[in-house]
Amino acid sequence: MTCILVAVLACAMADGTAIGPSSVSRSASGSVTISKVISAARTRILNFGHFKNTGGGDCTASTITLDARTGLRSTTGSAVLAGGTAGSGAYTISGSANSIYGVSFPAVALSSPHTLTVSAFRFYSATNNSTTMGRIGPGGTDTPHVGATIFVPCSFDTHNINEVVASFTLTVTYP
Amino acid sequence: MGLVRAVAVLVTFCGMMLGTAEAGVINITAGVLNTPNLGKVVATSTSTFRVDAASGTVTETGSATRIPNASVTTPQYIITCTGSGSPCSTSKLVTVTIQANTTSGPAFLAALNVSVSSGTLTSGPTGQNTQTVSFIAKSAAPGGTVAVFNLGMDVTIPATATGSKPTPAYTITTTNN
Repeated sequence: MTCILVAVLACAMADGTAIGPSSVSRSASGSVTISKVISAARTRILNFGHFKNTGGGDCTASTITLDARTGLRSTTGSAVLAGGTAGSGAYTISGSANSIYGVSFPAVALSSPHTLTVSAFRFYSATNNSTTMGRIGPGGTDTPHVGATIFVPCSFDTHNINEVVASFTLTVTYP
Repeated sequence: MGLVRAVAVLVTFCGMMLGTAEAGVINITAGVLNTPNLGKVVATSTSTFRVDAASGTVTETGSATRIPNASVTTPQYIITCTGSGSPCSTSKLVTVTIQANTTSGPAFLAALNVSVSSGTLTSGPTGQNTQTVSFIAKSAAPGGTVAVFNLGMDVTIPATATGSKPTPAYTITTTNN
């Protein structure tokens, strides 16, 4: 009788149905890249320096363009450069190391103290050869420069005061 | 003598069963690594991104920003049965359980959700949007598909977890009766 019981048990196990549950497992994962918050801090104000109108009654309206990379000024029209402490704006961009970032500017801003129209903002970062993008360095910062063009009407009368762009919105984002 | 003959018959019958009933095996398609990929996020406080299993849409809770906040591809898994023996039979049930592996770290799966697109379910999915989701599907004919499902998840990112590329893990387990 014992033999029969053993044989029945062996038979049932061989079928596989009486052994009990079996399991199979797989593992996998999702993925995400967590970046530091990106921010911009101004370290030098965008400054067109001193300039004045010449030409008297034959004056033509002028523009002064400040190059973002070199900080040098160039003019059109009757305005001439007259010293001051002109220079491109400088910023420190902080964020995730080695990350590309994009930058954008307002179409128009106003200068101080003479409320002249400033447009055509330009961007330069030594880390990325692009007018709209920079790259944050291994240390978590980048130091780009900003230039622009200022419109000088014939009615402008200089007082040998630096003409600066004290307030405009520089937007930096990860792409 | 009679007893010996009975045992011999039984052993022979058993041998016949062994020869005809090849054991079935449940299979899970290979793990889909690093999917979904949420891409780049910026977190200023603890935040959670919920990926919907069916649509791949991502919704955000908290102050984090995801760049860009587009839909993602959710991992799809296929449970199949090979072999002609149990459990590859429609009378059998297969329990599929998906479990998040961790509850902490720079990014972890705070919850899971599944969307079953194929299969005959007898239960669930239960535990949707918790860390353990499961459902029970009827097994299928040999070579058939038990279930096809996509996996979504809540990815929680603590505010302090910056500058890293975590890969929060989960485990899928099938158990057949």
